[in-house]
Amino acid sequence: MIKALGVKAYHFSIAWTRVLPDGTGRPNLSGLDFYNRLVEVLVANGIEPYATLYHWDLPQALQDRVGDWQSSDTSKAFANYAACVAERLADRVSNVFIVNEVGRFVNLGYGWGIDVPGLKLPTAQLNQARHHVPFAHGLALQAIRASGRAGTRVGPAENIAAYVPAIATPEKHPCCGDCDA
Amino acid sequence: MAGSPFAGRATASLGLDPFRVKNGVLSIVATRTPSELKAELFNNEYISGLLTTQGTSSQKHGYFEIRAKLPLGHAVWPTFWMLADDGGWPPEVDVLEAGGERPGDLVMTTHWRIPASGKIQSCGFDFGVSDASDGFHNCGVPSEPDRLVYFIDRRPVSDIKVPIGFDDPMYMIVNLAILSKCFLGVGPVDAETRDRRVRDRPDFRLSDRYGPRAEVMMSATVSRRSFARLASLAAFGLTTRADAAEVETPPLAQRHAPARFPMDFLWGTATSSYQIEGAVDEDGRGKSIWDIFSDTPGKIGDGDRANEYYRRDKGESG
Repeated sequence: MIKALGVKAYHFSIAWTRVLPDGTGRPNLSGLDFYNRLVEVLVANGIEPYATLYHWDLPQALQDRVGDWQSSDTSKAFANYAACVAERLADRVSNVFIVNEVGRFVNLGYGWGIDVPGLKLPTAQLNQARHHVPFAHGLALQAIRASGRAGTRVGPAENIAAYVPAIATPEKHPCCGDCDA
Repeated sequence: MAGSPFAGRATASLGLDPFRVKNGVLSIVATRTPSELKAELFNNEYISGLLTTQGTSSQKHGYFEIRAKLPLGHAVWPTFWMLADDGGWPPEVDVLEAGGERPGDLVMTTHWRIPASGKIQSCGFDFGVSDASDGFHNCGVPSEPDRLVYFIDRRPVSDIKVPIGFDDPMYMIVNLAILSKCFLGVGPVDAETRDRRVRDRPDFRLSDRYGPRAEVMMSATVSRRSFARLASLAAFGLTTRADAAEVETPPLAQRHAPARFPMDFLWGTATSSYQIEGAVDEDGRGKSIWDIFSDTPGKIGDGDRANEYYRRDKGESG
């Protein structure tokens, strides 16, 4: 179906809980195999796989046991998860997004009480949780580098908003006069 | 020219010449229709000029280009466009169209017909050239086997895939229409039109004596002399083309030039695991915080099934 769209890339995310049901320890091979088959099909059809490791689906076991992103143990567990994925897939997946939209899941989950875990932390604790994400990112990066091919591209997937005025006239927006020059 | 659809009905020359050539520049000049010829010329208020290579020069692939300074004025509609040799319409490629009082707003459009539905489809792009009525600009389309690429001043500004039905060689037309009915917000002129002031150019007036003029310098691809020699000349006030296209062409305001993606832009599609996979208990999968959160009444819809992507992969779900 993806091939019929005529696209050359497919960006999917991997469920941490399929690879490591409890968040840590040894990988669940049948869960990993699902993604392995997906990658095989993509590569066989000339579609470049782009994998995301974390699209906000933190294992509940980690949430219960070590705390969530408020704990650096979550970062370390994430590094182990990244290593498990990398060992199985990094020979064919050359593009890895480690975390998806840090700004969203940290702010909405830990600052504003909207997304899971639904917390409204004070700023200091919120920023502690925020800090543990790039910490995890760095650890995961090392794990992928250890297994991946040379040239594997690794980074975060952010959503960035740029704004342009609907009516870009100097009268409406005094600064637009400069932009038009 | 005999047999040309642009030739009009007159059996003998009307003695009109809307063209001037000076310093290597050909001008098309629109003027008031002489009153004694008005009946002959469909009661149109203005006469103008059209040059075409129909029947004399066409090509399937290659570069079509005009170098032109555009007329400014109420109801003027200068165009440089291409039609198929076989006389069918569409296809049509409008390398350059500009309208009336805002000649700097250039439109480049391709028209084609969808075989299955018979409907006409148009894809137009808007561009701004601030001094299009003061200076000469090149507008061109190289027609390649798979792409039509629009160029302004020899720089590519947009492109589209060649639509179906573009199999015949195409010939060129350059003309200055004076619209007798409103078309895409431009015009019309009528018997009462006198000295209409032009927005942004209060010094410019459309008058009987000094009609709007399109100045054309033909490109090197087709020399000016051969173009003029091959050209047929027709006196007309309003092209029938505007009538034909009126229904099908989207309003100018709806046409926008899309951002141009780099040639090596990677097109893909994306999903996230929890939002599509479902099968939350299969093959040893553990619970994630979103499973628990979504199962809490009032929080969110059913993520346990999602799109059942995981089971579909295993052939268990249709």
